[in-house]
Amino acid sequence: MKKELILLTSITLGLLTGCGGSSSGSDTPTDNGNQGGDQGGDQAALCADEVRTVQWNKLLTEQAAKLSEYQLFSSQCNPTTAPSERGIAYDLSVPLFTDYATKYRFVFVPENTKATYVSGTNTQTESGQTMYVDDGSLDYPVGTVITKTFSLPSNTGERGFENENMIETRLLVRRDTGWLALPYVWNADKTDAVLDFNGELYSGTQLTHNGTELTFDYGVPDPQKCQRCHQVDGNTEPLGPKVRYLNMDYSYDDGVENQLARWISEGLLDGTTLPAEPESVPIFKDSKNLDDIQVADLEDFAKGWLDINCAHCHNPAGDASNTNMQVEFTRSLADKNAHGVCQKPISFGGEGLEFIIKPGNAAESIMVYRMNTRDGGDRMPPLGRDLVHDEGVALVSKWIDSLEGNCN
Amino acid sequence: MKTSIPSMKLGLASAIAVAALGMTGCGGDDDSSTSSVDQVTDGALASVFNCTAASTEGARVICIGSAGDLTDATVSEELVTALSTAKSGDTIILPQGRFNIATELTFDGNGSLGQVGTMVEGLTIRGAGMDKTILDFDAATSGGAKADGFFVSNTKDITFEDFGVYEAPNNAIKLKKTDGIILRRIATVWETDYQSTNGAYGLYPVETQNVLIEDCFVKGSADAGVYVGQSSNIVVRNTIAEKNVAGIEIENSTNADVYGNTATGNTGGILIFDLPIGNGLYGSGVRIFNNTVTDNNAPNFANASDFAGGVHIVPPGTGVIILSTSDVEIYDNTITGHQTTAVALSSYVLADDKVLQAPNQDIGGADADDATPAVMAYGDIATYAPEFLDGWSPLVRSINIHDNTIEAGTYAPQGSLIRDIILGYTINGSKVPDILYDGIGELMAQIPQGGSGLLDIAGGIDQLAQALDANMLQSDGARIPNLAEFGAYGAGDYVCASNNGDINQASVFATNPAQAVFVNGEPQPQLLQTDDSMTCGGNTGKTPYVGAAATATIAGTVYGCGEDDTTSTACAPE
Repeated sequence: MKKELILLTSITLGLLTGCGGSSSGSDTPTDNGNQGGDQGGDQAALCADEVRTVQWNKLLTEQAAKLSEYQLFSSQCNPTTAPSERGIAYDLSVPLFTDYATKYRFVFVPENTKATYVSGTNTQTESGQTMYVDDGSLDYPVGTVITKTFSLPSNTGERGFENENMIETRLLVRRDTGWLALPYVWNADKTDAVLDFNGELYSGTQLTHNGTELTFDYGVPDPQKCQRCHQVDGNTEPLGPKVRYLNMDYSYDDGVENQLARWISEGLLDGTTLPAEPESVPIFKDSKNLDDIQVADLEDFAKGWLDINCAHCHNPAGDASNTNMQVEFTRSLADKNAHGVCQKPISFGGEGLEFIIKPGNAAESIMVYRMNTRDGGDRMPPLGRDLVHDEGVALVSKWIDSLEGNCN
Repeated sequence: MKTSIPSMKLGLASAIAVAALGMTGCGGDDDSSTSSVDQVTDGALASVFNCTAASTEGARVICIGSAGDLTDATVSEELVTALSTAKSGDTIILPQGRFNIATELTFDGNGSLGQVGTMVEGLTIRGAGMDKTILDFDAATSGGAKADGFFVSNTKDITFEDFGVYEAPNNAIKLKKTDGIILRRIATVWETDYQSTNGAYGLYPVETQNVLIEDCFVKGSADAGVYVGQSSNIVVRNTIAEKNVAGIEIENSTNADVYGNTATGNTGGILIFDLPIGNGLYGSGVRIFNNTVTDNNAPNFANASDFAGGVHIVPPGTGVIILSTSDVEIYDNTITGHQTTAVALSSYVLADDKVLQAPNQDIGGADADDATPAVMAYGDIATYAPEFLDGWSPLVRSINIHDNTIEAGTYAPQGSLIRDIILGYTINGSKVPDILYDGIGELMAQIPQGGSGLLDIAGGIDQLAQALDANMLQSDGARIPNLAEFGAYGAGDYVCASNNGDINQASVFATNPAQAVFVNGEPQPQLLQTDDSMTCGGNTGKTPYVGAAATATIAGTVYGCGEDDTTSTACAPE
């Protein structure tokens, strides 16, 4: 990492912002939503690329009615590339599953400020519960904006902006009073996204995954529902951009580099606050072949998937604090069996299943059953997905099948 | 789901009449107009807009709909927007009428775009009456998932009053991590009787503090009509619970008064449970008084669950159930017409005898015997070791049941949980007592140390937890907070029952080890129809428990018996 840091000192921000459009690739445009079927002259003008300046003050003071008002990207019609200055694209080693949507993530940190690393601690709440203060969270400076754009491919094998239907862009804005969640939904022309107070449910949405055509309801949360997942003891918090998910290589336009190293060299992250060996979660993407994972590593892979997909609620300070399942990556599997091994859930009934995790038997584990169902009452997570994440189910199933022991 | 509207209306109308009666008994603000159902004609409720908006900061009034537009879509969307843009002190006024709401109504005090940076407090949501404003969530989803009617979290001093929440797919009104809750003249209804696909809980505060539930009507939930869980400082009064699995349930909560309520037609009337959840929140300190608990003989239509403490275990025909909760006083209630038993008191042993499991001592596989699974974590010591270490105890201590009017119903005992007990009594040629006490937990706690009693089991678990830490296998240093909780009962710890009329009361197992019969070390039930196991006072060495009044402080006002209520029968100064 040190070597890369030295190399990076010569790279300017100009290079970063000058990459507009290049990630769109050369795929043949198909019948896609993101560029519409009928791009008139007005639309082309609206969508033109130009160098823009992030409206930092507006971000700190106003809930803009339209996403374009914040000027976060060169084109107001494309929040998937070419961020304005102080913005950088990033990826996570394990993403939260959202109905196979493609996610385009960016973070914007105001000039002369940096994110710092916060090491985790356990503290006691008034009620005596162990308070969850996540290991490896980053403390982002006031003014930071995190954007995540959700875009649905018609076929998951052919992702890319031109092949997708852009649905929503969610912002997390770090104000001096804390984080604010702002959901924007894209208009039909895909020329701007509008702040959405009511949430949306797109019934009958279709996509093809591994040759199977899937029909589902895609839900956009209303602002209040953002809190269901994005809370630590009631306070709004980002979920993904923690050190353990960022600590991996990323393909920048000028080459492959570790994301933390790039953030440090770009002045977005204070490297002096990082531990000598920053933690990481093994990379698990849908393309991962489970046969390539050593049995000894299965636990880390599975715990990583459960952490990003479940632990935002299933932790002592989250929405599922009143259940007996807590699955943070930093929590030992042995800790009061909180991941669910041989644990009976306190409220789930049905299917004749007894334990959250039955060692050696994924098929009879409630965790897998609930991950693997689309039933609105049984499915987990309840928000943010309608489809089943086949790859996640396969991973967690393989891990549970590898566990030994009998429940007494 | 709406085929039974006519009969529902009848039920609701009479329910409201009773609720109103309870309310006047309570004194105070009895100026509502909820006792009339005049506007309900032909099963349809006229939509009426009657609201004047106000924009004064801190006292805004937000009107939902308008005189010209009370369509479902408008009402639904405006409600979501009102919650998404709420400010402290807002009052959201719902129009009269029955409205289909398409989505879960979510409100988080820290999630409003109308007031960024500080928690929204003091929100009020008010309708025209619990029979006049009905929000029907039958078709609602939460982004496609099974929706609650309302889901509220992270706020302070919130009030719901004068409307009905019908047919919520999941829970009607769930409130979490909120300090200060008033649920007043709210109806939560599933109209089809005894249907397992009805929603789970009606009124559902969980992990909350300072909760007042009064003059409400809860019907048809496939779990508990009123369910206050993992909370503290609770007053539930003058509320009617009918045709739920559990009428009113106080679970893992402390400092609760349940009084002046009516529970009828449920599987079980009033339940006080303390369950091994494992999040450090356990219950004690509950008073149940001046309630009318009658004819709770419904079939148990809850979804089956493998969790031993779920409401699916409730034996049909039970008035009041105390499960593994200590410090409970039950008095001045009318408990009549139950086909199984009026009051059931039980340690958790009856729900799951694995609480008596001898601890596995093979730390780290030290005995080199592969047949014995190695203890690598608290959960490997014994099934309930993690919960014991978390502060939970399976016992009932300090229970006092006195001065109730108890009359049995037509004897027809049932319930899988106590099937063996019922069978035992039948074989003995006797009946299940009106006050039924398991006694097995107390017996296991009374067994002198050095035997196989509960204190020895808990002590063993404690030592093994220490050994796990010492071996660096589990290093959070957890210990059983109070080992005495598992040991012999002191004078004030006993279960006492007195002056409850001409009834039978008995313990299934003899509670005194000297009197108990053991076969191969296993205690044997005595199955007497009457015994003196719950006789206290005099020279028994047992002192009846006296509970303290519970109060809820909400927006500076103290609610509770002897506080805002000094006039109802239960609360008037003597």
